[in-house]
Amino acid sequence: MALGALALGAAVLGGCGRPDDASGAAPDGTAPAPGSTPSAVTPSPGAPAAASDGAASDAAASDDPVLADFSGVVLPDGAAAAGLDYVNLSGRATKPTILEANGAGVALIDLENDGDLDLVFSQGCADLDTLITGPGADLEIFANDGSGNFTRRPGPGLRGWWTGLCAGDVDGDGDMDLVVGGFGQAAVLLQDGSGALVPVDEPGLLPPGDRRLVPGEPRTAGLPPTWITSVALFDADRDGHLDVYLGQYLDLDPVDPPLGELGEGVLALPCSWKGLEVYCGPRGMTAQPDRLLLGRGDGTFVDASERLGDVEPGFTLGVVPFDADGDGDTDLYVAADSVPNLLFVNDGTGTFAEVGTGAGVAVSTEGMAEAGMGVATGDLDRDGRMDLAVTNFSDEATQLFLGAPVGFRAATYRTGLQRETRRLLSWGVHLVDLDADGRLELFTANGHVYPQADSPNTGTSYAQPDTLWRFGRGLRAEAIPPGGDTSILALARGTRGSAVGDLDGDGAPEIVVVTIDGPAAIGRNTHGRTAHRLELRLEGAGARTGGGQTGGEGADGAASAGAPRSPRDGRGARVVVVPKLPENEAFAVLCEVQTTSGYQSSSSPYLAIGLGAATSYTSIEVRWPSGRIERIEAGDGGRRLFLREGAGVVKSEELER
Amino acid sequence: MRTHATHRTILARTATRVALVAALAGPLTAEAVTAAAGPAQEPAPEDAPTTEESTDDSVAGAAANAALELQMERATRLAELASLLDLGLVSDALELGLPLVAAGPPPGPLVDDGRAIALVARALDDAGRGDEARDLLIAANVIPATGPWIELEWARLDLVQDELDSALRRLVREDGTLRLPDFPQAWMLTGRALARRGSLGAAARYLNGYLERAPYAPDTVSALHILHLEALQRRDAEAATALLAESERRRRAFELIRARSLQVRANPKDALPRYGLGLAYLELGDTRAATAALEELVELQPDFARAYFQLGEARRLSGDREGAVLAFGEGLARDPDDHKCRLNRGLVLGQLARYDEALTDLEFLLRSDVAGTAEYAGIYLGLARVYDRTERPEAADQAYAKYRELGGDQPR
Repeated sequence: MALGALALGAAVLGGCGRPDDASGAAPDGTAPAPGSTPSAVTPSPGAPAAASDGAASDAAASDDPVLADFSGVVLPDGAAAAGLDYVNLSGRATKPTILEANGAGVALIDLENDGDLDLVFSQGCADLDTLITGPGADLEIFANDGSGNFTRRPGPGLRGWWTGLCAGDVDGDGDMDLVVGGFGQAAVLLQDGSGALVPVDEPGLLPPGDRRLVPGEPRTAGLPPTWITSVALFDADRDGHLDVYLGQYLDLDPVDPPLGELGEGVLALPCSWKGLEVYCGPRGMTAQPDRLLLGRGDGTFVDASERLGDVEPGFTLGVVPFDADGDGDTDLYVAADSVPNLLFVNDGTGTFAEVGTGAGVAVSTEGMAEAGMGVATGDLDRDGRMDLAVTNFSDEATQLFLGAPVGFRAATYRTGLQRETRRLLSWGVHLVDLDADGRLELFTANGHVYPQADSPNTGTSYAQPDTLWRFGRGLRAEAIPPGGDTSILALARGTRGSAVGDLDGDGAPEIVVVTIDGPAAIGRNTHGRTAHRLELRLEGAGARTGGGQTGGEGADGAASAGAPRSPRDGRGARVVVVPKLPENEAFAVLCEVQTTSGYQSSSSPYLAIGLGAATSYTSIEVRWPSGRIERIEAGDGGRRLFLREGAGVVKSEELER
Repeated sequence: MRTHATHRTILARTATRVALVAALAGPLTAEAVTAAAGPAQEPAPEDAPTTEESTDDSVAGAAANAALELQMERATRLAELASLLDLGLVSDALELGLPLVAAGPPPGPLVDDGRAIALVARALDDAGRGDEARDLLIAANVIPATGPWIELEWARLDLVQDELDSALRRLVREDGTLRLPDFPQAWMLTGRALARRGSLGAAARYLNGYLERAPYAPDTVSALHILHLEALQRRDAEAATALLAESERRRRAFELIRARSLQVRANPKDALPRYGLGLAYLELGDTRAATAALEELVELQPDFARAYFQLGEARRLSGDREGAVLAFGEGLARDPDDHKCRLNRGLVLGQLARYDEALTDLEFLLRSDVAGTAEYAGIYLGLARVYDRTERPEAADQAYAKYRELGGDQPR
């Protein structure tokens, strides 16, 4: 097919970018990113601008044969069998306040550096009163034995109502640490070498003053705490130290929360939805501004929120760092509840400009600010540009924005996602290739915020099954049926945070979902057994420490002080893999090392690549955050490759099948 | 017993209410209102005898009254149904609407009304009962004048299902002309479908047509936003910025209107939410809806003095100068020191060529403590215009000079 040939040409000529777009250089003068197509995020004079549902390029790879393999039970829940007994607690079942409806998240993190992914869950309390009186909740940790079986481990001893988590090598010592946010609390936990997570004293995540809530300490009314939702570790200023973006929600007074109505007297606004009395917010309540903090590389951070510019506070729920414009630095997309979403574009130094409206990703195609619950990135249409999937409220669609030469194009309606998603209220979201066919599927974790959704004529329900779509010909969304009662897609419940990553060592990513007020689930990935996969684990050179480096070199091979550096955990690296296929079937896979995705959760930092019908790959190209570009020569699939910046493949092992 | 004049007033108010609801829930032409509410009644002349005075026609009068009552009842229920749906009160809408369109026996009073059936179908679909919505539309047997509402609802359902081509086939002939050009919603749905398909340039034509036909409907927010995208595509940054700003302004106004409407429903006898609703409509620029809301307010609470100024403004901006003078007068009757009411009454009286009365108000203000302030510079403009028309050029020059001195920049 002609469109398939276009994708092939792009792959051969430099990853998955199209030949006519393969121009432009990184701001620091390094070569253009391999395999990724440079794009501008806002229109400039003389340039075509973002449009809605484009007709041409986003179908580029969509006429290829569909190889999807979702036979049998899809993503069967293996949590109980694996010993995972986490049960979420998020306040009262009636959900009288908004905090109690938002649920928790999960982080996939390698504790003990044993190569497998362990699980850390955030946790809430029985209600606001018990949060205030204490003792509050701790994080809950489950250690993986390497084959996907889990054993509960003691928590780090935190006390609070915990929400979003993000795993990353905060101190650059080669193991993964954790940053966790909460309602009036935030913590940085560093691994101590034995796999224990040890809280950092005064990491600088919370502003000074009364915004902190310490369970057990007396509290008076009128002091709403800092409420952190999603947490994103990324390297904003390219110094090799991880920085953090804290998404924040709204002012909720835990001592005297609004109940039934906002305001007073005849101008009070009833807190209602479809005529039913529900908890109050976010509309009518005060949004908290998000914050950006720069990491010092020792587990402490300094507030640099002024670098975000003068942005009106929203009600942030989801955050995802990614290179939106393909220029080599990391930008941020922020899904905000009931107000326009934000796209922060990095100037390469960690100073941002908000361009969501101009880029076409702030509101729906028709100008409506939607609920903005979670967000995922991935190259869904395989055109060499990152796309965005944003989950929303019921009666709103999960929006799909495809990366375009300038900005993004909404593809929600043409792909049929409105029809598929309008009854759902979705939170966690992932664009992930579960069956290794080289195409991304869309997963959403679903569940309504209001128990009242079970009333007649709401058009939705409180408990909802999670959903998975593949994108067939014409990029049309096709719901994948659960295939059996044990599928995580079969059981109606309310899920919130979710994370993807290979838990059992076979290279196939599982999905972990956090059920509000219920047990967590693990959707075991049993799909694509015949397909070949690659797993890539990247290690960056890290920040410069003292008089030397922690390893590797800068972009130009010299140790110049001002040159960009790559974080030790490889975060921000962009990778293009070209499977070895006949010319008429060729495609390239673009992905990026990031862990924050979906809602309040942290996925695997390892890249899971599906090779489709190929058994091997032609090339792997890595663009490190430092600007260095490395090309890995052809090799076989079914491998786990360890790539170190400047050293190429330093270890290769076979994936268990 | 009600008089014809009273009926006429009620009918006019009902028509206003229906039109207001139409603005909230979708398009409604005068023709459609008539069709939806039943056969049109020729209003009696202003000086026609009342039924009390015309006992010879008592039988005919009673029949006319009954027809009017029926017409009013249908229009009121239709308006209430649309209002409930617009506020997202789907259960309430179904509770009201399903009996209205029930096939029977006995049949519901609006079973032959395409507008009502379309609204109930929308409510059913919103409630997750899409199959029932389709069954209702399939079974509909409506009077021809209201048939287009059924077709438009089918197109809307197609759009909800992402069936863009199907929606366009329902809306547009092969030659590109609309099948239902008299219905604003046909323009909006067509523009929306084309935009969702990626044809922004083609969408713009229909969206502009929609804005012309339904300038204050909630969907104008979307129409303006899509036009903003189209302007971006044309690289017309200035137009894009203006369209986006207007879309945002309207979005905020509609959010306010929705909040105020909910407050009015919660506190129907309190004046303040209704006053806020009137102001919100004024903020939007929908003076007709503002007038209706404020008239309801002063009917409910005649002593709410502040409302009369806003009502006068709403009427003035609607072009109803006589009505504006009356409203300002009511305000002054309750608060003689309401200088804004007096100023605007004086200005409107001048526009009505009632110069003596205008001068009385404006010269009164000259003797008040607001004279000579920039906020009331309009006193001098009004005087200048009246003096011009009463052939007092020197006084006019002086007044206009004072007006300019105070910062006024409108022409004389």
